[in-house]
Amino acid sequence: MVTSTHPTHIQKETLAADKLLPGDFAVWMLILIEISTFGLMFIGFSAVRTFERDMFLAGQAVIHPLAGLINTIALLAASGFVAQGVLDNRNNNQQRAAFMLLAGVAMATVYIVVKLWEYWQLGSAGYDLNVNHFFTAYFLLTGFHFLHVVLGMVFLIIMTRKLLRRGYGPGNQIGLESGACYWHMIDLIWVVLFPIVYVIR
Amino acid sequence: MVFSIPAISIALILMTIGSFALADQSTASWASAIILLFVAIKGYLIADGFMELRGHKRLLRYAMVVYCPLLSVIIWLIVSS
Repeated sequence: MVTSTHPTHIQKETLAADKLLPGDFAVWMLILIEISTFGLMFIGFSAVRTFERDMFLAGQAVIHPLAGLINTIALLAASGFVAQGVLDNRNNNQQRAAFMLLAGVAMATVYIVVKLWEYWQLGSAGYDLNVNHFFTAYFLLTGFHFLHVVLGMVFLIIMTRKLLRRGYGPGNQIGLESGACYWHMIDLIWVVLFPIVYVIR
Repeated sequence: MVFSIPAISIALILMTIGSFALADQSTASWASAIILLFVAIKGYLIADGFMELRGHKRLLRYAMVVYCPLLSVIIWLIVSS
């Protein structure tokens, strides 16, 4: 009997179907719950905006779109570094993977500093949760996301430490992949948040 | 399509800058539609590229890939109404 070493089309399909999900399934459930919650918040924000268009436009004129742009680039770069770190770990290069995760933390720090500056600027000018519906929605949406970034940074630091101690490797990467997927979810949420809060007028 | 991580990162950043520049030029409904189209593409790239869901046949992958395009369409319908 001749056994082919090249998978046929059907075999390839089966292999793809059997491919394991990156990370833990429980983390994916958490991700689905998180993105659904944020999705409802985005729809709510957009709906309120249609009823109070002038108020929202006035609010958007007060916030800092450039700060939003810097934060978007910082989070996208952080996600790129984290994704590269996962690949480096898979290639048994834990030192480089740890460096990539640290670069991700550095980018996330840029986000934290810019966001805190933005909150400080708005707070100094007298804008808080109670000013109007726009600022209530703005602070709730961005504040909720901010907390996720802080938690994501904690995960990244823990994973970096574990990588430096050779706690992860090509055969032991579920924890690293789970943390990375959580981080990408934070990025995914900001990708939607940025245009609807800062850009679209 | 298989892209490298740096290529995906650069594409995402370029689309972000493009959206920002477009919003500076126009506040028309078509501009919002293009910005939300970029959001849909960015969501797809993050789910399939960064989250490594490419090639999976699970419902989870479809949910993640559809998330941004679906949300973009809903938001555009609400915003342009």
